[in-house]
Parts: sequence; structure tokens; C-alpha cells
Amino acid sequence: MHNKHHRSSHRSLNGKNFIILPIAFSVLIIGICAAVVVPAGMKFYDMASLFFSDNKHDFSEDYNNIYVPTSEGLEESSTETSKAPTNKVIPITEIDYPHYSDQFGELIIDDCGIKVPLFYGDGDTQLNNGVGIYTGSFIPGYGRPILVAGHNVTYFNGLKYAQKGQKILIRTSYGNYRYEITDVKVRDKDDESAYDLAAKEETLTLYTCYPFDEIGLTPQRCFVYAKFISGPIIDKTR
Amino acid sequence: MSEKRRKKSGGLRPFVYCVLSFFLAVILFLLSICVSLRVTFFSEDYMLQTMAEYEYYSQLTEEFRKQMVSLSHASGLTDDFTNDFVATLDFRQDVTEYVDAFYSGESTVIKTTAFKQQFRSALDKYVEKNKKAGTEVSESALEYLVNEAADIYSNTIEIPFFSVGANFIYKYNTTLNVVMIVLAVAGVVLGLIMFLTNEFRHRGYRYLSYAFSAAFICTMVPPVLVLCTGVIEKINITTRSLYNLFTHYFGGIFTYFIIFGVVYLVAGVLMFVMFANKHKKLLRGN
Repeated sequence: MHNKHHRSSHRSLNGKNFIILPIAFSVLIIGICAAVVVPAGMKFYDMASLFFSDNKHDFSEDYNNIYVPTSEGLEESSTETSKAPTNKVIPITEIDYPHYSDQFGELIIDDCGIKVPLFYGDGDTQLNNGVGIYTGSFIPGYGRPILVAGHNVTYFNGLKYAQKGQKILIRTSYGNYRYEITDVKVRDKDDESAYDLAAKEETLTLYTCYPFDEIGLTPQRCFVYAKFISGPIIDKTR
Repeated sequence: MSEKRRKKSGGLRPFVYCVLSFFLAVILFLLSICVSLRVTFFSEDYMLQTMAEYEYYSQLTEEFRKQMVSLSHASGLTDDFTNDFVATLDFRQDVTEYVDAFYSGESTVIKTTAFKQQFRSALDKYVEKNKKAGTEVSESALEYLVNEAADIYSNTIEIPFFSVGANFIYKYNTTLNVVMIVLAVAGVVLGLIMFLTNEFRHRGYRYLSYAFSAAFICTMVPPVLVLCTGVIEKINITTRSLYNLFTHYFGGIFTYFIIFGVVYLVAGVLMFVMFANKHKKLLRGN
């Protein structure tokens, strides 16, 4: 009996059980935990995807500048009245489409003394460095409304001189776009009729806080409306 | 005891001790989870310590300053005014009050009255100094500006989903303490049973070694999974201060898991060494 006991204990000392049993125990424990947690967790799985992104966050406030000026279509001055413009068509695949926060162009209104960097996106970083296109609107040449925001103390201060008939030039790497101011209005910031982003034609709306050069904040905004005159048309099918 | 009965009990006994060893591993694993949560998630000090250690307050101040500069660009204020005003704020005190309120189950509304008064006073001085001759500054425009600034201030201090977590903490704080005590007592009792009811001491060490080793593996699984998937670093938070706070806060919880894992590993190895020594002594004795 004693010999038997010693032999069996000696086998244990060889160590197999000291590895196999803990592993088996832990697999069982984790399996039980998974069986309990996974069904309950599945309810929150979709919600969890909202809390996690695919990549690690980049909090750098540096922005990417993809703007390389092109002189094509710049023959006429932005203050000249348009002749019969010819609109070249460019496939969307040939455009370096901007990502959020990219500086991809320049907005110029000679009559208002405005010549500012144009960003894709209208967050703090963009508006502290220039003016920004609201990402729920469209880029120039897309054939749909463009909504551009800027601060009234800095880059859009010159909008106080905006008048009907003045020309706006937007320069991008893929072409130069001309617009003509059709109206200037002061409206409430919550006025939903101030612009229509669902419209099927290309229009340009610039807006900033109003009144200009006053200390304080009001719910009023100055809207400058412009119509498309010329510039390359983006072909979305190619 | 007859030979037949002895044989039967000899086969059953290792199985019973294995089962006990398994339950002890479960208890140790659950205990490590409970203690880790108690000293981190359920502790106000841990939250405040993480904030202080990872420069949460200075990052928060800088983010608030940037938002205020943006607001000033829309409201006729200079950057200097904004920077000077932000320098007078004490985010550490305000955030601590906010966290205190949560952990003590009080109202979680961020009080902005003092901030509004402070900002309005600075604004009035600025207006007096900078307003253009012959122009009136609209009272409603100033009021609107103060309210917008207070909203930014309040949003800066607020920690998303904290109210949900804090309510949970407040509700289950006592329950967790009771569960921890029950688990600790159960663990000790089970350990003693395994150790004292064995005719040969080395067997007790052997089963304890199984339990500690299994608890080590289980405790290491969550941090290893989190490290391998990098899931914490992909948390979707848009401000740097909150991102740093959350990643270090949750990272700290898993650090406690690792500490427990190491303790269990050391205990497991120690039990194995004790087993080996006792076993050798027994062999020599025979």
C-alpha cells in the first residue's frame, strides 16, 4: 500500500499534473465566464462599436495641406464679369478628395479683401486657421450646395463689405471656381430656411457671426449667397 | 477499513480534492476581480489620483482655452483676454468637486454660477476698456456670450457616462464589500479543508498549487487580451484629456489583474516547492 502511494506521488512530482490540471481548470473557468458574459454582452455589442474605433486616435492639431494651386481657368480676374465660361469635366477618381481637416484650397473675394485658406470641415482647428466647408455639404465642382463657415473677427471679417454682384474665387488643386454673390442676409442661427443642402444645383453660401466687430455674441448670422459661374465639373461616375 | 473500501476511497479522494481545488481557483479569480474593482473603479481616490498623475487638469485647461479662443474669434475678444481669463481658473478644484458629488451620491449638475460671475466681471472690464466710442454694447449679446462660455466650461468638466457608472458604484459599493469578505472567507476555509484533511501534507500543497496556478492563468487572460487587441487605445473619445484619463484609468484596472496574477504565480510555485520538499522528506523517511 505504502509503495503504491509513493509511486503515485512520485508520478505527480514528474510535473504533468502541475501543468495539465491548472490549464484544464482555467479553460473551464474562462468557458463558464464566457458562457455567462457573452450572451449578456451581445446585447451591447452593437453599442460597443460606437465606443471604439478601428485605429488609435490622433490628437495632433496639425493639418494636412493638399492644396497645390493650379493656374488653369484663371485667365479672367475674379472681379471681371464672366464671359461665356467653358466647364471642363474631370473624373472624381482624378481628384485628391480632401479628408476631414485638410486644407484643400483658397477662398478669395477681392472686393472684400478676403484671401483665406479653405479647409474641409468646420471645427475649431480649421476655423482658427482659415474658413471651412461644412462636411454635410459638398466640395466645389460637385454640382451641389457648398456651405462655408468662418469667424467674423478673423478670416471672414471682410464679409461685412460683401455686396450683390461681387465675385468669389475658390482655388483648389483640381481647378479654379468662380461664383457671383446674389444676396447678403442676416438671419437667425437656427433658421432652417437659411440654406438648402438638399438642392440639386451648385450654390455657395458663406456665413459668419453677426454683427461684425462688436463685443459679445448674438444668435444672428450673416449669410452671403452666391451662384456658380464656372469651374471644372466633377464626374461622379468615373 | 477493508481493502475494497480503501481502494474506492483512494480513487474518489483525488477527484474530490481536484474539484475543491477547482472551486478554490474560481474563488481566487473572483476575489481578484472584486479587489481590483474595489481599489480602482469603486474608489474615488483612484479616479483623482489618475487625474493628477496623468496631467488631466492641465490638459483640460488647455482644451478649454482653445475652445474659448474660438469663441472669442466670433465675439470680438482678443486672444490675450481669453488667455488671461483662463489662467485664473482652477480646474482641479472644480473637477474634484464634481467627482466628489458623484461618489457621494449627490447631485451631478455642474454649478456654473461662480464661473459666470467671474467671466462676466472680466468681460465688463474688457468692454469698458475696449468698446468703440459712441457705440453701445448689447446686454443680450454679452449675456449670450457668458452663457456660451459657461456651456463650454460645463462640457469641459463633464465626464461622459460617468453619471451612469457613479450611480452603479454608489448602489453596489456595500454589496461588493460583502462579496469580497464572503469570497475571502470561503477561500481560506476551502484552503484549510484541502490542507488539513489530507493525511499527507504534501498533498495539500499539491492541490493548493493547482488552484493558485489556475487562478494565475485566469487572472492573466483579461490583461493579455486587452494588450493584444489594443482595444483600450482604440476607445472613441475626441478630446486628448479624456482619452488619456480613460486609457490610464482602465489600464490601471488591468495592472491590478497582473499584480494578482503574479501573486498567484508566486503562491503556486511556492506550493509546488513545498510539495516537492515534503514529498522528498516523506520518501527519505521511508
